Amino acid sequence: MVNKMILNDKFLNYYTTRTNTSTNTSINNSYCCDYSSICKLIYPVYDRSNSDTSFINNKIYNSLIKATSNWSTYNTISPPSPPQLTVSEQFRQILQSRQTPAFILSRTPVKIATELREKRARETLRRILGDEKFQKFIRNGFVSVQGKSGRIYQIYPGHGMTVVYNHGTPIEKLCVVLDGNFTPTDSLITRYIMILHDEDQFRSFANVWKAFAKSKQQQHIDIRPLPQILQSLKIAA
Amino acid sequence: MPWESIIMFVEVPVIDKCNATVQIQIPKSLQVVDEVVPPPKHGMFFIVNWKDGDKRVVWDSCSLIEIQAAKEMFDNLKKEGLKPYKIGINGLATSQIMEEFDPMAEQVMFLPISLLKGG
Repeated sequence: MVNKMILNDKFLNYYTTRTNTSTNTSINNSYCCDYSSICKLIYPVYDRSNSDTSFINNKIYNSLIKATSNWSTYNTISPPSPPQLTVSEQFRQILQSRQTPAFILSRTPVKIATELREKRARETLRRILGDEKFQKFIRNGFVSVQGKSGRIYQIYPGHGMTVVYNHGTPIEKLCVVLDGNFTPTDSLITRYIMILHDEDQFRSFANVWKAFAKSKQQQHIDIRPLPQILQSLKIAA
Repeated sequence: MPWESIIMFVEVPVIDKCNATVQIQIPKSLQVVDEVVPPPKHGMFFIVNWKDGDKRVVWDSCSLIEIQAAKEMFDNLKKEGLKPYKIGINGLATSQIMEEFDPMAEQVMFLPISLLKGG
């Protein structure tokens, strides 16, 4: 018996309950199917005329789970299709993409310090980093430091994650915080010097998370004249 | 009122998982300053604490009394769990921990490493 199904754009999770009459136990199983590999899920529907409904197995196409079936009818579920945009909405999207390019900043600059403690901490940070690195910190919002192992640590002030890079590829994220009412820059200074001194000890404090490199998807840019694009959209609609 | 008669303290949080702090008296012969660059022939302690951001204490490298007082303060801070890191040329950070007080050290930064934990 299929108890629950959760559909989203990528995965289908469902839970089944199986009852064994001989032992009078119920077994709950949960499955997760990737929509990219299978597009249809076949599940059984109870046959009301059949009195023996105590033991039901499920059979899923293109998966590893196969069992004997005891159903009479079955239904299929197709993956949800993306919402269709009208011609005017599609054309508006194309117009917006051709407008004056927006300044997309991937880095968040550091805000101006108003608290006296934070100002003092930044003075100290400027002293230990040097002017050039400090300016990069103000512009980008983080500090990069290379450890003795050669790995580069990207440290954010406050409670931000420390991202570890190996040959330009992010490999993990370390969450280390300085307990107490310290300023964000003081926390950064502590982690910075800690990494310089002993990376392994720093890592021993951390909760480690896996980091994934962002995939660079090449965007297809339509350079045709706008009247031509509009005409092709109308034909397609 | 001359500054020598004022007893100054630096509050350092040293007990893990607790908001307790310890007051460490700054010896009277040492000066508390606001500048990040120590005067010529002076050494400086940066003590990171949550009350002031960081407290900056200087001592005269040519004065034996001040060197002695700085050593006393160094030992007290180290005893409370703060780690002393040596700051190198032109104030740039190094990874070197000072095991013993070096009177010729220009700048020393005390960090509460024991308060680092996973988030």
